[in-house]
Amino acid sequence: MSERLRSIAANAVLAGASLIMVLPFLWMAMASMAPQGEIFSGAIFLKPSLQAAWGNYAFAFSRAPLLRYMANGVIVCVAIIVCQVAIAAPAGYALAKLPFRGRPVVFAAIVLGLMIPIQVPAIPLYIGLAYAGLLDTYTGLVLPFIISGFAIFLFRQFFTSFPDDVIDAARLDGFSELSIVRRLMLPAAWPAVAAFAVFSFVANWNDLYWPLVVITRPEMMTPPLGLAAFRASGDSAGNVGALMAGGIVITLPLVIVFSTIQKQFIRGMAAPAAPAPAAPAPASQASASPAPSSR
Amino acid sequence: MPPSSIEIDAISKRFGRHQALNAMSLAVRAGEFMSILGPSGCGKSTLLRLIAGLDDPDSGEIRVAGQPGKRPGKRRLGDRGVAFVFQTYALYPNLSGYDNIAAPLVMRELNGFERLPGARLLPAVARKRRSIDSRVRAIAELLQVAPWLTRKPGQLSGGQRQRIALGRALVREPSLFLLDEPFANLDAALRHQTRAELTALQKRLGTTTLFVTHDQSEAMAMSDRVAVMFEGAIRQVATPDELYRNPVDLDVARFLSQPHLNCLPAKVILDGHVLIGGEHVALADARQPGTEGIVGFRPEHATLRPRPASATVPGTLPGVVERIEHAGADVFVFVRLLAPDTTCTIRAASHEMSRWAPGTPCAVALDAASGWFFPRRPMQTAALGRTEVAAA
Repeated sequence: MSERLRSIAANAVLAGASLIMVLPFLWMAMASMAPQGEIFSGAIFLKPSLQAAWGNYAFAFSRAPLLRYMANGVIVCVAIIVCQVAIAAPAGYALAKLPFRGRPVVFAAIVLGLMIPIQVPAIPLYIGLAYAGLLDTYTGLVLPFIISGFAIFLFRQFFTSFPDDVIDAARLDGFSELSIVRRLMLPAAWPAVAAFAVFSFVANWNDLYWPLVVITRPEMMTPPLGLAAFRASGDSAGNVGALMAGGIVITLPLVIVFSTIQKQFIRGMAAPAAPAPAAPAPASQASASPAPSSR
Repeated sequence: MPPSSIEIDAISKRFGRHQALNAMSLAVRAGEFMSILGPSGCGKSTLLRLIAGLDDPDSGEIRVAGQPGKRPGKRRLGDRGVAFVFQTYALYPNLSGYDNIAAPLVMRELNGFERLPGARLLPAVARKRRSIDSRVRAIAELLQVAPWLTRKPGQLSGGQRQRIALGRALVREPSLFLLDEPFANLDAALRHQTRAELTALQKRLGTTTLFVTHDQSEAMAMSDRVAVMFEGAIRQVATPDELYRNPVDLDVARFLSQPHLNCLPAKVILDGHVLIGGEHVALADARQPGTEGIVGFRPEHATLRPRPASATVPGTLPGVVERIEHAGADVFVFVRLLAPDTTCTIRAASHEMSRWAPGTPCAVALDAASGWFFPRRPMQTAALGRTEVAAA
C-alpha cells in the first residue's frame, strides 16, 4: 500500500513540475488564439476563438515576414551544424585516437574554451567581420560558431571507446584517416551526432544575442531577432495575441526537430559509449588446449 | 599477388619500460605457413603489427619480399599486399557482411568520386563494381558465408564473424597473411574445424602465412614450421616434429609439453648416464660428465614398473603413486618420488588403472632415447618440479 502511495506522490510531484514547465507555452498557445479582451482579463486559462486565432495569425504573418525569418533560421542553423560536425568529427578523432605531442594540452584548452561565453570575444569578432565586410550576411551569422568545443568534446568521448583494431584494419584495407572518420566513426557515433544536432539547433535557433550584433537588415533576421523587431515596431503595439502567434510559429520547428530525433537524442545523451558490437569475451584458454599427441 | 618471403633482421621494440622485442631475427620462406608460438606478453603480437607496418621498430629492419621496408606511411598501408586477421575480428560495425568483405577492394580500386552512390551509372564504374562483386561472391562461396552477407557484424555469431573477417583478408589476394590468435574467441569444436579449413585454404592459395598463437597444439597441427618466442626473442624455429623431439631448452620443452613436463635436477656422471636423486639412470642426451642440469621428460616417455615396498629397482626412480587422473584412452599417474622429493606425471594405458591405486610403491623407468638433459644455466636454477600450464 505504501508502495502505491509513494508512486502517487511521486507522480503528483512530477505532474506539478511538468505543469510549471509547460504553462508558459500553454498560455502562449492560448493567447495566440484568444481575442484581445480575453488576454487582458488576467485569467490563466483563456477561452480561444477561431475568429481571434485567425486574426492574430493573419496579423502576425502580414506585418512580419515570419516565413523569411524562419527560412533564415533554418539556413543558418543547418549551415552551422554541418560545419560543426565536419570540423569536430576529425578533431574528436585526432584527440581520441591519434597520439601526438601536446594532445592533453590541446584537449584541456578545448574543455577550457567551453567555459568562455560568446560575449567575451564578441567585440573582436564583430570588428573582424566588419573589416571583412561580412556584417549583415549569413556568413557573419555562421562563421563564429563553426568550431564547437562541445562537439569536439562529445565526439572525442564517443570515439575513444571505438576499438583500435577496427581502425588498424581499416588502415590496412586502404582507408584514409578521413574516410575512417566519415565511413566508420561517424556512423557508429550516430546517436551522439543526433544529440549534438539537437543541442546545436536549439541553441542557434534561439540565439538573439549574435544576430542582434551583426544583423540590421530585416530580410537577414533570424526568428528571435525578427520577433523582437516585430514587437519593437509600432505595428504590434499592444497586440499580444499576434505576438504570441509569432512565438508559436517560431517555436514549432524546434518541437518538430526534437520529436523526430528524440530517440537518438536520449540514446546519445544516456550512453556516451560507442554502441559498436564488441567481440565476445575471450573464451577461457586453458580449458581447451589439449596436450600434443605423442607419436 | 605472389607469396612474399619475410626477413626480419635484429628488430627491437620498446613500450615505455617494457622491452617487447629484443634484437629479434626471423626468416619466413615464401608460401610457408609459420606459427609464432609463445606465452602471453612474449611480444608475438607486437611482431605481427611491425610486419604489417602498423608500428615501427625502434631498430632493425623488416624486409617483405626482399623490399627493404621503411614503413610506407599510414596513407599507403593499404597498398601493401598484407592482410591481417585480428583476434577481435575488427569488423566494421556499421557495414554489412558484404560491405565488410568488399571494403578493401572498394577502398583500393575506386577513388573518392567513384565511390559516390550515383557513380554506378557511369559504365567504367559499373564495370569495376561488377568485378568487385564477382570477387566478393567468390570468396563468400569459398568460406560459405553467402547466407550472412546482408547482416551486420552485431547480428552474427562469433564463428560467422570470424569467417567474414577471413573473407575480408583473403578477398584482395594478399601476398602475406597475418593472423593474430584468430581462433581465441571460438569454442573448442569450432576451433578445430576452422583450424583444418584454414590449413587447407592456405595450402590451396599458397599465401605466406604467419599465425600467432599461444596454443601449442594449434601451432603443431597447422604449421610447416613453428617459431617459439620467449621474452621478445626467438628461441627455436623448427618443424613441429623436430620441435617435439628436440626442444632447444627447458622453456621450449615446457611450453610444448603442456600440461605436464617432468623436470628433475640431475648430474651427468658418464656420457649417456645421469644421477637423479642417487639413482643411475641411462639418458642418451646426457653429455659432458660433471655437468649439472635438469632432466626433462614427457609423461609418455617413461613407464611405471612395480617395486617391492622397501627396495629399489636399479636404473629406475623409486616412488609411490599419489593420485591418478583419467584422460580418456590414457591415465596420468602422479608419482611422488622418494628422491628428489617431487611429483612426476607418467602416462599409462587406462586398463592399467587398477594396478596403480594411490599408495602403491612403484618405479619410474625413463625412456633413455626420448628424455632430454638441459645443462643448468645461471637463470634456470629455480625451475624445478612439475610445471603447470603457463598459458594465460
